[in-house]
Amino acid sequence: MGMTKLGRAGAPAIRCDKVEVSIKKKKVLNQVAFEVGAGCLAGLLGPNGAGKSTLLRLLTGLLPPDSGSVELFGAPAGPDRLAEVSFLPDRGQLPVYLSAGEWLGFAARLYPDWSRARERELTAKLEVDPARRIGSMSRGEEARLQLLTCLSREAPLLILDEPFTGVDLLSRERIASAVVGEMADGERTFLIATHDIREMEHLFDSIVLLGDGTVKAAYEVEALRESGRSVESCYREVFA
Amino acid sequence: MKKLTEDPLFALEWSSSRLFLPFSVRNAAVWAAFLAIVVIGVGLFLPDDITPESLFACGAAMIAIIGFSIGLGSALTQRENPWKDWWLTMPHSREALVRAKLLAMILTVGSFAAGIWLACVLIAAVRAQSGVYWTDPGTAGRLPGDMLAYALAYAAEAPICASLGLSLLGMYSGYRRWLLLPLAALFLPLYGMISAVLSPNAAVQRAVSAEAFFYGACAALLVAAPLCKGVVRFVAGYGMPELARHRSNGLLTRKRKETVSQARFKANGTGFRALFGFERSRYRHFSSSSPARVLYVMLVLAAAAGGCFAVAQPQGILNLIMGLTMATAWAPSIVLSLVTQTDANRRRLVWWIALPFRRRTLLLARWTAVWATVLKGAAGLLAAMIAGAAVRWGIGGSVPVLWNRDGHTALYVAVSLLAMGLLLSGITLAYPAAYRNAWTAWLILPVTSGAAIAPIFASRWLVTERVLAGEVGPEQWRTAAIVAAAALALGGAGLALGAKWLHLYLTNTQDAAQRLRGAGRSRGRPLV
Amino acid sequence: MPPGKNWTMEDFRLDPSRPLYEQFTEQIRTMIAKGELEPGTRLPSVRETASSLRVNPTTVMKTYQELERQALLVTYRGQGTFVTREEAAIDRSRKELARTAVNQLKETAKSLGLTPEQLWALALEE
Repeated sequence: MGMTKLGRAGAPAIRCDKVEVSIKKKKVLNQVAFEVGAGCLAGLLGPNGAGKSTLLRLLTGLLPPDSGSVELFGAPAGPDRLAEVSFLPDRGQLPVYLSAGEWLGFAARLYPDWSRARERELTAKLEVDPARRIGSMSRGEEARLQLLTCLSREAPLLILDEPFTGVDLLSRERIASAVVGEMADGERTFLIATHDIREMEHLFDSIVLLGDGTVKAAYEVEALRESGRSVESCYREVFA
Repeated sequence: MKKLTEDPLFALEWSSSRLFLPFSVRNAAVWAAFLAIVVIGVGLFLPDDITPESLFACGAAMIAIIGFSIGLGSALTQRENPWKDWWLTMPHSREALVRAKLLAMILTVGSFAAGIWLACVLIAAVRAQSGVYWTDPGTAGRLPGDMLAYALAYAAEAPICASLGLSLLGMYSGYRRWLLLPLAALFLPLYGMISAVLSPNAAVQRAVSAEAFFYGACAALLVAAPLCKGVVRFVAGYGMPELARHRSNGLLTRKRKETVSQARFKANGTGFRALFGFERSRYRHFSSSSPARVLYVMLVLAAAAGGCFAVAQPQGILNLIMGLTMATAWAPSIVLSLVTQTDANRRRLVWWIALPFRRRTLLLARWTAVWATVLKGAAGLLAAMIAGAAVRWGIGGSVPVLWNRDGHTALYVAVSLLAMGLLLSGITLAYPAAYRNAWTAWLILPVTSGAAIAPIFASRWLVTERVLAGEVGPEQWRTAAIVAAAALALGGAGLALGAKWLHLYLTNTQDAAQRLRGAGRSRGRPLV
Repeated sequence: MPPGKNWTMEDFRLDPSRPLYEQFTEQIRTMIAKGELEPGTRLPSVRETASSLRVNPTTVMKTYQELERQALLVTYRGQGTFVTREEAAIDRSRKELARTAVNQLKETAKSLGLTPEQLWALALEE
């Protein structure tokens, strides 16, 4: 398959510099620059249409930047780095004709970094029924199955695009718990795009605020709280 | 009855149709350019022995295909249309909703019909003027009468084909699914008609004559109104409640169990093998559904019966093999282009692209899985055909088959058409490159939509009348070899291009296209 | 041996505009001082705690480290983290809490121009 693991030890998990992207002549990302350290759980926050999904597609190599550099662990991002990135697409869909178990059977073969042990543990934790057809699942169930797919891999970087859209409260809590449980060993880096701040603000250790295609601000969350501000108040300040 | 222009439902439907039609300066320019290309292109390449009547009849077949496609397309996409629930909950009767949609559709088909009619008239006029092209000197005099007769026929076609296509919306479940068979029996032969009507054969010429079309058109016009009314009631009564119950992105057949007791598909191997298995699971799932099974069993029976009867006629078995190979060769390109775009529209594609494989590997696995599925199905039909022929041979004894010569011809037909199919399916892979910009769109779309004119190409250069008469020589094999070489080269190029621009599907979904058009930034690209 | 503890989010009141580890430290310290967390109670691992409270594991790690520094928690390699059995440490922490509360009272009294005793008497008046 020719997927080689590139990158330098000690380099940030994500580094974007002067990134620009236009889609259909409209500038979607403009001079985007930020870093996410290895082992961090970073939030990518911003209103609808800020360019979050486009930025995440750059990181996963689904889209090349028009200019600027996008690096993962010190080496350029691109389709050849997909073995290192576990991606949860926004409102993406798994094949509806398969059952959850059948899909996981394929996924175990399709992802070289799949961990059967993790899969078993998370299947129980996220309460996914392997016999259930994906096409008959509720949104919350399918979101949990998709997250299960992402977390059962051992990729060092996890990129989750709006993991909570249209997901019920209990599923949201389960998803957040599973994410925390997976990152506790400090070896995996998470970047989570969301506008569901309340659910996630306790999880982030840093946040990047993206608006109108540029990085409006980036903070260490505990430092932010030291100065008496919350993630939510900060979001309001930047975007209101 | 309210005036059409005052009906807001119709206005809404029409507002989306007219985006494709030459009602803006820009669209008019695109249509005019397209018309010019068609007139010049067809005018140059049309064989000399083709009569203007054949030309008009060919246009009629195309209009029928367009009309059916617009109706079927609407019926097929309604279920996954994000606008669906808004549409269904508008405070109007379901009949009014369907009627407005059908009316807009008829007018759209009518616009295309007018374009095709104009193209045919221009081609016929140019040829008549230059004189040299028609072999029959009387053609020029017949033209004015032809123009009127076929115009009437084209006008009658629009409501009939559009409404028949839309009627599919009422055939999604229950016994009404059986209606799919007559519907397919009406629609599918149209593709064959395009080339069949070009034959100078006397019987064909009688069938495509202006008189025949005139009387046919009169009869069709009488049927059109009650047919449209019937379809509106049928769709509003059966299709709309089902559409309303349908949950977007759910399973196609609701009655299927929500859980499976045992995994039906087991993943095997890793890398390409696993990916291939994953791709195959899609087709294995759909071919295990009961409508697909019923359809396949009927096809097998038809093939067996066909083999049984055809073997008694000269060229019979050859024609049957040609039909089967033609379908086998064409199907993969059609499936490939549909599957990937559907995946993109339903946001399923992004999971696939993000799999840790080279994009070439992804595409190749998808391509291989489609071909494997089609070839497997075709092998079954071929076996049934041979079985049918063998039975007849066993009973009837003598059959007019010259094994040596006909075997050679059959081999040539199969090999050359499959090479053509490989070529087409390879080119289809390049499709996402068309999304790159306007230039690549103009470059790639005509090539990838080549599947539509491929039968004409095949009958003109590959499987000609002479070939069917048994004259297969080195010259024919050379052509087949060229096609095969082109398949390898262009297929490779298609794979490379497709892999490079695969991600453009993500930003070019049906949803995105509608948004873009809504924003008044139409690319003016012909979407048919 | 006292049972192990399993936190839920209901056990804590959090203000999102103050450092989370500070708040966890304070609230766990109060639980220990009140005896709500008995000496010797085994606390869940950083990973389990972070997962059940849905907070960043670093926050939990810092909380446990701070409480260990105050000698209220002890970690035995391979066994886990426990509430200390040393009464002296707990007493120290209890005194610390009392002092903080009294200091707050003094501040309030001062802002009203009263001595703490006057404030006390005022509050008890009919």
